[in-house]
Amino acid sequence: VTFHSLDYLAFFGLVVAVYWCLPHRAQNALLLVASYAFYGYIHLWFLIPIAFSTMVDYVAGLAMERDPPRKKLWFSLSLVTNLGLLGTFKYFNFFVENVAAVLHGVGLDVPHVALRLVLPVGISFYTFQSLTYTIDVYRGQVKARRNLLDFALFVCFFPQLVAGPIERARSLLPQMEGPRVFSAQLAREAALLMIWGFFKKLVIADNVGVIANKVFGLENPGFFVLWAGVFAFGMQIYADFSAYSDIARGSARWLGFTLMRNFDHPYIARNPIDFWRRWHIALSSWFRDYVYISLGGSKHGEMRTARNVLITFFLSGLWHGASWNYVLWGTYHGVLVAGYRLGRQLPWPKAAPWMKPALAIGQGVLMFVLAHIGWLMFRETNFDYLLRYATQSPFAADLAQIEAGAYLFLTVLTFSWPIFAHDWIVALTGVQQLVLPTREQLRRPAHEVGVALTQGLVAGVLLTGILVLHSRASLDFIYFAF
Amino acid sequence: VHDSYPVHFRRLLLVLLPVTLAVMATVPLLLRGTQATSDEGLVPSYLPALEPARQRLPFKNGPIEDLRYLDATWVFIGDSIPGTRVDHHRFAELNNLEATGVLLRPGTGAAYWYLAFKNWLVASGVKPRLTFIYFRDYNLTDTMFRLSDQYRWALDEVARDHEPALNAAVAARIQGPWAAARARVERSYSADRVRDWLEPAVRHWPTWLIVPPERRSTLPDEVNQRFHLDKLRPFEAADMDAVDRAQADFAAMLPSSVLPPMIRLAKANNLQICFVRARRRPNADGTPAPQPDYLRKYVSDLSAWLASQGMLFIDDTPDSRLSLDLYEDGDHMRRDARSFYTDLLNEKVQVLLKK
Repeated sequence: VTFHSLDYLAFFGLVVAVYWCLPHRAQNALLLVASYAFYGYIHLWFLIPIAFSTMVDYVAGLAMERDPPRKKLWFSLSLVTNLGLLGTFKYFNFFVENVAAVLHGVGLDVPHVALRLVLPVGISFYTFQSLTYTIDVYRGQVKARRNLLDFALFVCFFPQLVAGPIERARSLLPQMEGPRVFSAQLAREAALLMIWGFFKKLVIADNVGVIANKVFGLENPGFFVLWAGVFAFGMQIYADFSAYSDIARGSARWLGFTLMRNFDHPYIARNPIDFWRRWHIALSSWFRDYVYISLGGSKHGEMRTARNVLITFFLSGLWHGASWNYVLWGTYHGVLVAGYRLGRQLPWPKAAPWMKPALAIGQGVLMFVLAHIGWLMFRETNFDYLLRYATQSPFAADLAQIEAGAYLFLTVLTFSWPIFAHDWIVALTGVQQLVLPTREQLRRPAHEVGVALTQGLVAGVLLTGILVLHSRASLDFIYFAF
Repeated sequence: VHDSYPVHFRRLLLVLLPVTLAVMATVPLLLRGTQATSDEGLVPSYLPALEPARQRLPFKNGPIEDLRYLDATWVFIGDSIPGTRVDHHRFAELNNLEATGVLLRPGTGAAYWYLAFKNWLVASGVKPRLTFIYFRDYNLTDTMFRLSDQYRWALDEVARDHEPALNAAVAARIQGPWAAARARVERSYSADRVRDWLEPAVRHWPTWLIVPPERRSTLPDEVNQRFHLDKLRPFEAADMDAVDRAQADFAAMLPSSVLPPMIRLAKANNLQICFVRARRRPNADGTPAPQPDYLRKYVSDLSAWLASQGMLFIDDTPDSRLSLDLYEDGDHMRRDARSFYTDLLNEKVQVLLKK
């Protein structure tokens, strides 16, 4: 079941309808059954590793609390289990291939070994989410949970199971344990959030994704067509992944849960640190809290900080997939962040007040370009092609190629302008969530009627867009692959 | 959240939720308004399973008259693939100047070929010795290939007011409660009709900023040329062949394709059809375009089924004489290669007919 299918809407509608008729404990039981059904519908055997990970972490959490002398041992068991699952399913073949290539390089040929396993969808997400529980229990920041049902639901909660946001145990578990109240206000917001997500997926991501896929299928696209394709991919991955997060958050909100924001208008970021505060926030904050800070963070001087940043981004790149291009992408961003941190220590001249807007725009454009250079590394899995692209010159292009590139660029812009409009309005007005009312405004009936009608109108316009401009090519969510 | 609100405010909130959803569902009705003035001239579609009433081009009678006039001995049906391969004058020369009719139209698929066979050839009463139908890979059983959107207009020229067999095949392909629900929603908002003009307009507008007026209509096609099969990476080209593995299950696809009604019609009218599978553009080194195992299986099943129905089958794919230098763009052949291709075709046809 994917979010952008009618199957999901039917499934979700049924779950919501039954859910609010049940008492709290039964609600959790229903959600657990629904989540396993949702996941098992993709592939029945996917249930085995998730159930295994759940049981090990549940037992490890309790054991760490009951048996403090062996706390480290139980924590190691959880770590080895989750990273072992991830390593086996996602990285084993990659590791073996690379070892074999190194051995071949020194004249030792080893027999080809490969596991023919289907990668369980979402394994990178739920193992990391489950680890937040055992790490926090180990650190004494979260109490071990005795209720297996609540804990199992925390690991497999269907709205965010397959592609996040990766929630923290300390944020989501209390919501699982406490009673939820249906809020019509939040349900309205959630409906709008979901339809904005559907719009981004069906109208923007899937339409521009077709262009990106075509360009990256070419033997020799040429400079301008290639970069139009990279722009298409940059818009696709943002629209696609943020759409998933919005639908997940909207779905959860209908069930009375609040999930974290995963994107905060990343394409208006003005520097690499700003970008990573806005892009895939759940994952970047996970790596910050559990890797970067564990390595010492920024406490031991600039060079150690730079090293920690590079290690963190290297691992973050590797998390995305068992392929060197993801590692290269992660390392590239690590270099950008570390370089920016070091660069801002330099004695830059202060900009005059009249220059500040132009400087801000210039920084935003530069970061946008840098992010897209990264997307080229992310999208192109073949290093031979990547090297070829890196050496392509714009001066070798003929007029026809420039026209084709411009045509594709404008076509991408035609489909993706609502995202730019949304982000730039947010940037210029400072409104955090353009379409959502503030808490203070919620209590006045007249205002509430106006907000409800506006939300209906905006959702109606988005629905109209979906009806007339949805792509005929239905592409999977990109982050399903991770 | 609600507990802290007064009762009347909580009630208001509960009422506003369906109100918001109702407003959301109402806004797209404006789409109907944009179509209100163009409702004149709508006629029920010959494919009600696929689309609502719409304006259509009239059926073309010309080809029936032409076939009768020619009293064609050989008839070719297909798209630009036979159009860029077969020199029908040459074919007539090679066969004692017997009349050769062509029912070719670029950008058409199995639905068009079936209707051309039924509504033009069979309707003309002409009894050719052999009718050739060209296809690539899975096209013959791909009922939905080139059926909607811009391809509708070509289909209009060859479709009667009612096409029950084709409609049944289409209905079988798009069956399912979700497909029906989705179609009902789109129709209730007239979204499908707005889409007909809006989508091309959206894709066309960038041309206004890039090229002078005389090139605006051709730029999208020029850009599309850049993505032809011969411009793709070898691996991607292989993927293009394997568009959808489900399409390669011949036994599963056959009942909901136009092949069974076409063969029934041929038998009822004592016509023999020779299906020709075109050779895709070979690789740069002259080797055939890659074929996955399931495509080979599909072709083998298709060939066996056609033989069981008493029809002929020619597969150009393994013919290494159709080398890369004969090709122009994509799977199309160069104009000056047509005579050579026609000679080869005739050679294969004579062998088949002798059998």
